[in-house]
Amino acid sequence: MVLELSAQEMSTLPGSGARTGESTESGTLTEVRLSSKVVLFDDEEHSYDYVVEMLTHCCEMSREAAFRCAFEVDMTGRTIVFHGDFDECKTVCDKILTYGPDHRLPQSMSSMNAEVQH
Amino acid sequence: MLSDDDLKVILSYLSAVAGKTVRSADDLLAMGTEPFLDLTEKIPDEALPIVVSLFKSTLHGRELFIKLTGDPDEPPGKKAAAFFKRYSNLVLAQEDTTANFNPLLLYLPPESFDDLAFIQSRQSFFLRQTVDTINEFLKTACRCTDIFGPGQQEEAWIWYWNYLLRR
Repeated sequence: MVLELSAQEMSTLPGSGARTGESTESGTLTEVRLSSKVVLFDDEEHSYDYVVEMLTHCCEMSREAAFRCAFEVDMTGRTIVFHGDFDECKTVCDKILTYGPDHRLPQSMSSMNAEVQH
Repeated sequence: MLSDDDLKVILSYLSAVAGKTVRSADDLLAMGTEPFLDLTEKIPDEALPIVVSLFKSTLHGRELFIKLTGDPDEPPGKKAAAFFKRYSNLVLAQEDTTANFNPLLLYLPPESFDDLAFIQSRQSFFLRQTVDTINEFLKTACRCTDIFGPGQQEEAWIWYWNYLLRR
């Protein structure tokens, strides 16, 4: 799947700092192959502080973008935290899945759940 | 999940703040994005997390989230950005409080020390704390004069368990 985005739209994507694509001949649009995404799922075992810390580390997000993702996953049950090709998404997903439990909460026994989707 | 009584209280509160009757989350959904964000601005800091829990507890979490972030086809507005900045300041631990926050003092209070089954259930939680957190906890709650070094979480746990058994 090829997704054409303007530079402004690209800058609003989580994880956009990790990936840019080739410019078209016109130079006004950047054509980027974003074939996959990493989706994070909500649970009752991780605090907002954990989610922000984890996303800034695993997805290289800004603290503000990480908080918006934390808010979305809390409100809706899921949020997209990264776009990229499959290998990049797999790497990010593995980091999330192995980040570990939240030391702030005694009921937290494991990492959050995430998966790569197309 | 909010109880029905809590829901009624929050909806009454929102009605007073909004200046018109808010009977359910559907009424909030019917508001435009800007009036909705204007409403959140009027809610004091101490009440905002409770109101957000109302949003979450309804079946319209996705639609209300979109209202708070603004139109997905347009860049987030200043009002949405202000809401998120304010809410993040309320929800996230601030730097000046992080240093003082000890999860062991919070989740292993002294009044629980007689319940050994409960304490045992918190063993993994204890062991994944930093040794500085553990030392502070043992000093404060158990008057421990020993200081455990890096990687000595297991030793600290053994000391703590023996302390509980001696009480």
